Amino acid sequence: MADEEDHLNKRQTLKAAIHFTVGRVCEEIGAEQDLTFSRHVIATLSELTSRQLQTYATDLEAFAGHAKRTVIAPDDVKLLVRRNPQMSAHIKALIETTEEEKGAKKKKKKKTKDSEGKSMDVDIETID
Amino acid sequence: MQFSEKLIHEFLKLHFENSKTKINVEAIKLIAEVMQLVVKEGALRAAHQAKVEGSDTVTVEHLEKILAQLLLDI
Repeated sequence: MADEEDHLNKRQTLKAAIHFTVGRVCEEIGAEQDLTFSRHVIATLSELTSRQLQTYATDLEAFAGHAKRTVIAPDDVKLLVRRNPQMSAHIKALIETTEEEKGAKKKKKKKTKDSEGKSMDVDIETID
Repeated sequence: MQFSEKLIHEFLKLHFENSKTKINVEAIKLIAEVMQLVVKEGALRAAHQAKVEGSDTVTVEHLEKILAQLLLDI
């Protein structure tokens, strides 16, 4: 009983947080375009967002499961947005940039290791 | 304004059917980005509809008109 109550509370809190974010996004767009968004519009948009996120949760779980994984990976998100070509291209580009960044970091690490190796060689030489 | 990664993570965790399911940090960032785009797109389309009708407040009627196409696009 208490568990169920906790669960409901958590759900409400998360929904409220989504509502807050959606409200802020609408405010920003309203300020840019000299418009005001009615409260009902913000409420409907946040309901839409939380429903969408619920569908995404089950879809992502199914995609990861199909790939015999229990951890959802960026590739699953790529699959999630495959229907919208622009969104798909955007997400692919984001994945590529993060991968490049990771690659650069790895290279740097390798380089520092190499230089350490060199200094060790020198040490050995001096000992000789 | 961006969706916080913590919010997305907690919300997804709450709606997974299998309690063993976990999620990669990069994937959370991507989902936050997708949700941000969905909200922005909806708000912008409703704003455009309001402008076309010459109104300076975006109402549910404006949102209703763009809702069907929005749902097909996301």
